[in-house]
Amino acid sequence: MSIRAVMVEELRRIFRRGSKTALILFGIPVVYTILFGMVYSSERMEYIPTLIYDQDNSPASRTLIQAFADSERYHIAAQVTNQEDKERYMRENAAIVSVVIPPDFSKNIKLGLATEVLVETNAVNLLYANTVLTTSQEIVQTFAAGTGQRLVQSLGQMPDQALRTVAPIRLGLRIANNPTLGYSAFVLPGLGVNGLQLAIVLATCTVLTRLYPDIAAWRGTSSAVIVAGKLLPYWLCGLAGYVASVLLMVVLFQIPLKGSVLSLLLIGAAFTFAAVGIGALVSAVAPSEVIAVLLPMLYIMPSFLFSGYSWPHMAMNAFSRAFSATMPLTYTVDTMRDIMLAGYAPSLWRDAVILCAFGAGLTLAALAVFAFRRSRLAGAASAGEVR
Amino acid sequence: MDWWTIFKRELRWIFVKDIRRAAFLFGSSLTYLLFFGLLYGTHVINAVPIVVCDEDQSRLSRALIQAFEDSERYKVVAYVTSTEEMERSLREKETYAALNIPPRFSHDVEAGLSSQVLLMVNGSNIAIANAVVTPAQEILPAFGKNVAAGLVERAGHARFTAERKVSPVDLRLRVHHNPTLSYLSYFLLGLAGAALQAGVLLAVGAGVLDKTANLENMSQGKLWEVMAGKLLPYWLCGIVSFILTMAASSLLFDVPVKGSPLQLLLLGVVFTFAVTAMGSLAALLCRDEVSYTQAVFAYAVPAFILSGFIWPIEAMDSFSRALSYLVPLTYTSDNLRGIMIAGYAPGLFRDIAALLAMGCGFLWLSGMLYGRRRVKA
Repeated sequence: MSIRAVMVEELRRIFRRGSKTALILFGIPVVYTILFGMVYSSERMEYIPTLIYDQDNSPASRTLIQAFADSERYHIAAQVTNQEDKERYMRENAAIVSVVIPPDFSKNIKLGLATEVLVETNAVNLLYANTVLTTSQEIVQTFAAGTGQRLVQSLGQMPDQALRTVAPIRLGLRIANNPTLGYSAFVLPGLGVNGLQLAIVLATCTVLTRLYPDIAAWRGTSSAVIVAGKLLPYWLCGLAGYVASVLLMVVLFQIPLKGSVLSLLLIGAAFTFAAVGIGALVSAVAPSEVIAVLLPMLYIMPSFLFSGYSWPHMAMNAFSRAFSATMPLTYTVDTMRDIMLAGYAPSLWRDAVILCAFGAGLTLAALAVFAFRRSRLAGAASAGEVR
Repeated sequence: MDWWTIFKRELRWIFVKDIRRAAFLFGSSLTYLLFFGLLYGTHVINAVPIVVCDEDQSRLSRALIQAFEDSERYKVVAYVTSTEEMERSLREKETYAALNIPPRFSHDVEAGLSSQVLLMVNGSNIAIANAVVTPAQEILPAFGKNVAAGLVERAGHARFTAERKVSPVDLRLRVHHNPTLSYLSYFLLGLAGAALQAGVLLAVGAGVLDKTANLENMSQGKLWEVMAGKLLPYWLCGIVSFILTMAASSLLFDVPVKGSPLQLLLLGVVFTFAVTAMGSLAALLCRDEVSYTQAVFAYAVPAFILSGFIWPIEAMDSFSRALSYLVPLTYTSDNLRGIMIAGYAPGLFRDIAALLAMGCGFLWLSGMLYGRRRVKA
C-alpha cells in the first residue's frame, strides 16, 4: 500500500460513523477549553465574604470599614459585636476574612498614640489568602496615609506638603502581560493544551497495537510507510484541535493574543508531533489495547503540574526538575502563554527544536519496535506454516 | 453463588490474578502523593530573580535595595543602568521583576517632594506575581515610614511622636491555618484525593468489565448478592488506601491532622462508596474496558477543577457550579483539607449525606441496568 492509501484508510477510521476517535481528538480539547473558560470566567476573586468587628464605632472606624465595603474584592457579610460571634462565623466559613478594629481606635489616632487594625484571613485556600494579603494592605495603607496627612497638618504643614511627608516614597506597581492578574489568562492556555495532550495520546496509543493480531494483512507494505501513514492523520487532527482550542480561547474567552500567529502555530505543531510520538511508541510497545491506554496516562497525568506552568521551576527540587524535563508539556505551555500574553517567548526556538527532537526520537523508536515485533510475528507465522 | 463466595473470589482477583487492580487501588494515590509531595516540597516560591535599575545611586536608594536584598523572597541577579536593559531582562525572562529607582530619588524625598519607585512584574504566572508583589507591599511602606518619621523629626518634633504621626494606623495580618502560605498544605490533599478517585474507578472498571467474570456471566445468584460480592472488595480496599494516603501525607510530608481522625475516616468511607458506585455504573454504560479507561482519564482533570478545591465554587458561573455538584470530589476535597489543616469542616455532614445519596443513586441505577441486562441474557 502507498503511504497515501494508509493515510486515507486511517482518516476513514477516525471519522467513521460511531467511532470515538474523532470525538476524543476534537471533543476533549474543545470541551476542556469551553468548560474551564467558564469556570474561570469571573477572572479574579471578588466579593470575598468579610466580617466586621468594630469595637470603636467612631467616624474613623466607619470610614475604614467603608473603604473595605467600597472595594469589589470584599463583601461585608456580617457585623458582629463580640469575639465569640466572630470566631463562630469564621469557623462556619460564613466569612473568610475578618476586620477587627480595636476600642479607642479613633481616640488613639487623635492623641497621636497610633493604633492598629487586625485583618484575619482563613488561608486554607491560598487564592483567598493571596487576594486578602495584597488588597488589605492597599486599603489600610491608603487610609493610614490620609489620617497621617491630617495629623502632620496639625503640626503646621500645608495639606499637600503633609501628604508628601507621610508618604515620601510611593510604590508604583506595573504588572506586565496580565495587568489584572486574571485567572483565566493565566491558566486557560495551559489547561487547553493539557487536554489536547490527553486527547492525542488517548487516540494514538492503540494505533499500532491494533495491527499486531492481523499483521499478515500488511504484507508488502514497509513498516516505515505503515507507521508514517498511520500517524500523520493524527498529527494533522491534533494540530486542528490545537487551532480550535486557541481560537476558542481568543474569541470566546478574550485571552489576548499579542504574539505572532506563526510562532503559536510553530510551537503547536512541534508539540502535537511530540505528543503523537508518545502515543506511537506506547502503541508499538504495549501488549494489549487496555495496557496501551493505561500506560501513558500514568506519565502524562502529572505533567501539567510538573511543567513549571503554575509552580515555577525555580521552586522545584532537583528531582522534580529532572522529571519535568522529560515531558513535552514543559517545553510548550509556558512558551505558548508567553506568546499569547507577552507577545514574545524568549525560548521559542529552543523549545520547538527540543519538541521536534522528542517527536522524531519517539517516532523512530516506535518504528524500530514495530518493525521488530512485526518480523517476529511473521517469523512465528511462517514457522507455523512449515510445521 | 452467594455474595461471600463472589467476595472472596473478587479479592483473589484483585491481589493475585490481576495484580493491576491492587496497583490501581493502592498505588495511584500513594505514587501521586509522593510525586506531588516532592514537587511542592519547597512550600513557597522564594528567591524570585529580580533586576535592579538604580538611576539615583544615593545612600537612600542603596538602603532601599538592601531592604529588597535582605528579603528571602527576592534574589537580585543583576544591576543595570538603563530602563531599556531592565525591560530587556524582563522580556527575556532572565528576571521576573524589576525595581526601578528614579533619578533624583533621594533629593526629592529629602526635599519633601516625595518620589515613586517602580516595581515591574511579569504577570504571566500569577503564583510568581503574588510572590513578588506581596512582600514588596510590606518592605516599601516599612521603609517609607522610617523616612517619613525622619522628615517630621527634622521639622522639630520628637522621634517618638513623629513615628506615630506619620503612621497612625498599622495593619496587623493574621493568617489562619496555613500561616506560611505553603503550597504543599494547600494542594497535596486534593491531588491525592483525585488520584485515589481515579485509582478506585479504574479498579472497579477492571472488575466489572472483566471478560471471564463480568456481571453478565453471573446470572445465577440474586442480583444484590452478585453486586455486593463484586463491589464490596473495591470499597474496602479503597478505604484502606484512603487511610494509607492520609497517613503518608501526614508522616512523610508533615501535613497537619488538626481535626478529628474519626470525621476524616467517615469522609473517606462515604467518598470511596460514592466513587465505587459511580465506577460500577460508568463501567456498565461503557461496556468495554478500553473506552471505560479513556472516559476515566477524560473525566479526571475536569473533576479536579470543578471540585472547587482551587477555584472556589462560589466564584464559578452557574453552569459550572451546577456541573460541580455532580462530582464526588466536590463534597470531599475541601472538607478533607478543612479537617486536616484547619481542624474543622463546617459543611461536613451535609456533604457526607450528599455523598451517601450519590452513592446510593449510582448503585440503584447500576443495579437496574445490570438487572435488565441479566433478563436479556
